[in-house]
Amino acid sequence: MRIAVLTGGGDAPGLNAAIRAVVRKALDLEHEVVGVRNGWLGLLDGSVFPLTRDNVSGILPRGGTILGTSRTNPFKQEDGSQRMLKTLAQFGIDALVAIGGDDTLSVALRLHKMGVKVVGIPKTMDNDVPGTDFTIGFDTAVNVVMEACDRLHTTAEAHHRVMVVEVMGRDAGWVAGVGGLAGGADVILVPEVPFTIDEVCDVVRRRHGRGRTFSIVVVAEGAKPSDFGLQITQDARVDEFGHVRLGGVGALLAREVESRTGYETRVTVLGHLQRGGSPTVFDRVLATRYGVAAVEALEAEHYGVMVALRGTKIVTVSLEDALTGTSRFDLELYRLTKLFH
Amino acid sequence: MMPTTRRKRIGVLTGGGDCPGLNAVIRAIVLSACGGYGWEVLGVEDGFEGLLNDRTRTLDVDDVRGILTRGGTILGTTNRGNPFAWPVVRDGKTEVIDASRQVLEKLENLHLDAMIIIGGDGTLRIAEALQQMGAPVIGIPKTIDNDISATDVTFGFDTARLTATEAIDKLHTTAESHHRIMVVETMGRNAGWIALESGLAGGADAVLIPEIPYELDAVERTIEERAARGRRFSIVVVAEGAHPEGGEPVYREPGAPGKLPRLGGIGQRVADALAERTGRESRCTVLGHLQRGGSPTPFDRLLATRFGVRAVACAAEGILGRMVALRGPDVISIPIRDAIDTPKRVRPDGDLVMAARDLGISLGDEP
Repeated sequence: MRIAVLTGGGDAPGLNAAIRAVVRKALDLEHEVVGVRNGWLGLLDGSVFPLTRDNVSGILPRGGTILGTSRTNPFKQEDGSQRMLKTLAQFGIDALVAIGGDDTLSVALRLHKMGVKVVGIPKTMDNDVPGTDFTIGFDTAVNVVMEACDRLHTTAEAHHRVMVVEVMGRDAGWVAGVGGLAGGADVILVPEVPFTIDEVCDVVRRRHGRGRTFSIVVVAEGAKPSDFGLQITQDARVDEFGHVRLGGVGALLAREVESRTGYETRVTVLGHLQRGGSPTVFDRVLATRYGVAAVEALEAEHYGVMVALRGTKIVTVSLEDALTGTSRFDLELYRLTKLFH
Repeated sequence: MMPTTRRKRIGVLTGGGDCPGLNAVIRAIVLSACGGYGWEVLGVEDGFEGLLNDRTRTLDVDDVRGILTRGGTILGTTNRGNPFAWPVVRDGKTEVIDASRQVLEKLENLHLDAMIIIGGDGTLRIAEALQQMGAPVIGIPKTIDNDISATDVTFGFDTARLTATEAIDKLHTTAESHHRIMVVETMGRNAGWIALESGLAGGADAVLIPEIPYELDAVERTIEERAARGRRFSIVVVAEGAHPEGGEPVYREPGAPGKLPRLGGIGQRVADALAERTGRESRCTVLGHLQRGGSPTPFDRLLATRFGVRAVACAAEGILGRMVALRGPDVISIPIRDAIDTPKRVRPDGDLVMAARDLGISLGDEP
C-alpha cells in the first residue's frame, strides 16, 4: 500500500512526531509513504515526494512540520476534487493520512465520502476537536502560557500592575482555561462565557483591597466582552474556511481596565509563540501513538475514521461523529478557576 | 573600656523598570550586611515614591530567604519616581515639582550610613544628583537593556536575551511550516543589545537596531534572496527603538509629566510593510514584558550577588558616591558620573555587528 501523509491548517508542536510515527509504522508493515507538501494545496498541485526513514530521522523534537502547511480549502478551488483525485491516481496513492484540525478533517471526511481511503489525526493547539480528549499541540501551547504567566507574575508584582495576557483560542477556552489555571491567573476569560469589563475590574479592585496590588488576567482571543458586543477582530478578511483573524481583545481589555480602575495595565499577546517550539513529552507521546494508530487503522481497512484519545486509550471514531458538535472548555474546570479569582 | 559604636544602618531601594536579578541583589545585600557585619538594613518600597511617603521596612535574613530564584523585586518599584521632577496633583491639575530636598530630609531622618540605590541610567542619574547634594549613596546598575557604559554588562540582560532567543527558536518552526515572515519586537530602548545578541543566538535573518537606521529595501532583498534559495520564511528581529533611515522611532505612549514616553509598535509596522512589498504573509510578535520577568539565569544571579556584596563592602569601607561595576573579571567601584555620561550602544563597526554581517544577517542597511 502507498500511504500519503499531509498536514493542514495552523501548525502545532508535535506534527513532526506524528509524521515520523506514520512513516516508521508504515515502513514496518512494508508499506510505502509519500509526503504531500503544504496541506491540501500539495494534493491539488501534485506536490508529492517519497518519505523514508532518513527523511524523518531527528525530527521528533522539532516543532513545525517538515511537510509544510496551508489553510487552503480544496473544495473552494476550481476543479478541486478532480485535481486531488488526479494527484492520488498519478502517484498511485492508495490511502491518505490527514493531520489537522476540524477544517482539515472536514475535507478528509468529504474525500472519504467520495471513496478515498482516509484516516484523520486530530491536531490543534486549541484542543477544540470534539471527538477526542486531547489534540496534538495543546499541551505544548498551555506550557507556553503557563511559563508566560510565571514570568509576568514577577514583573506585575514588582510594578503593581495588571498584566493582561492574550492567548489563542477562537471558540474554545481550553488554552486560556488550562494555561491560566496552571499559571495562577487571577482572572480567566474564555469564549464560552461572555464577560463584562466591570467584572474584571471588580476582581482587580478586590485584590488591591487585600493588598495584592497586581493581577494577572488571561484572556482567550475569542473571549466576548458583552459590553462591546462581538468578538474583537484584527481585520475584516476571512480565510478560505470562513475564519476571521481574531485578536485585539487583550489591548481593549487593558485600556478599559486601566481607565476604569486607574491601575497601570500592560498587555502581552503570546500569538505565535504558542505554536512554536519543541513539543512537550505529552505531545510527543500522543502524536507518536496517533501516528501508529492511524496506520493500524488503514491496515485494518478502517477508513473514514479519526484516531482519538479517550481516557488513556487510543481509539478510532468515525470522522462524521468526531466533527459533530463543538469541543467547549470543560465548564466544571471553569468553575474551578473561579475559586482562585 | 571598649568604645561603644552605633550599629551601622543602610538603606536599599530599587528604581525604574524591574529586571531579573533584583531579588538576588537585595538578598546579597541583606545577607552580607545583616549576617556578615551585623548591621541593620532598611528596605524602601517602590523606589523614591516610598522614600517620600515613609514606606520603609526592616529587612532581615529571614525576609530574603528563597528569593534568589524569583524575578521581580520584593521591594516593588516604579518608573515614575524622579524626585527632581515629581508629579503632584494640586486642584485637580498635575504639576511637576522638585522634591529632592524632601528626599534629603527623609534620608537624614532615617540616619542612614549609606543608601544603596539599584537602578538603570535614570535612577543612577538621580543617585548622582543626590550625591552632589551630600547624600551618602552607593549605586548598583541594573537594566535588561545593557545600555550602561561603565560596566561590561548589567544583570537582567542575560535573562532577557535568553527569553528573546527562546522566542525566536519557537517562531522559527512555525515560520518555516507556514512560509511566513516572522517579525519579533524586542525591548532595549535606544540600544540594540537584546535584538542583536538574541538575533545572533537565534539565527535571525535580519536584525534592525536603533544604532543602524534601516531601509526596508535591504530587508526585502534579504527575504527574496532567501526565497530564491528555497528558504521561504524569514525571521526579522526588530529592537523597539529601531527606526528607518531619516525616520523617527515609534512610540506607544507619549511622555507625560514625570513619565518617560514608551517605545513600541515598530514591529507591526515593519511586518505590514514587508508583507505589502513581498506579497508574503507576515506576523509580528511583541515580546514585551516577558523579557522582564522570570527566574534569573545563573549568570544574572551571580552578577547580582557580586554587585550586592561589593556595595556593602563599599559601605563598610566608607566609600560613598560610587557605583559598582563589572570590568573584565573584577567587580570594582567607579564614580557614578562615569556610568551616566554616555549610554552604551551597539557599535556599528564593532565585532558583534561584523559577525552578524559575516553570517549573512541583514542589518537593514547597505554594508
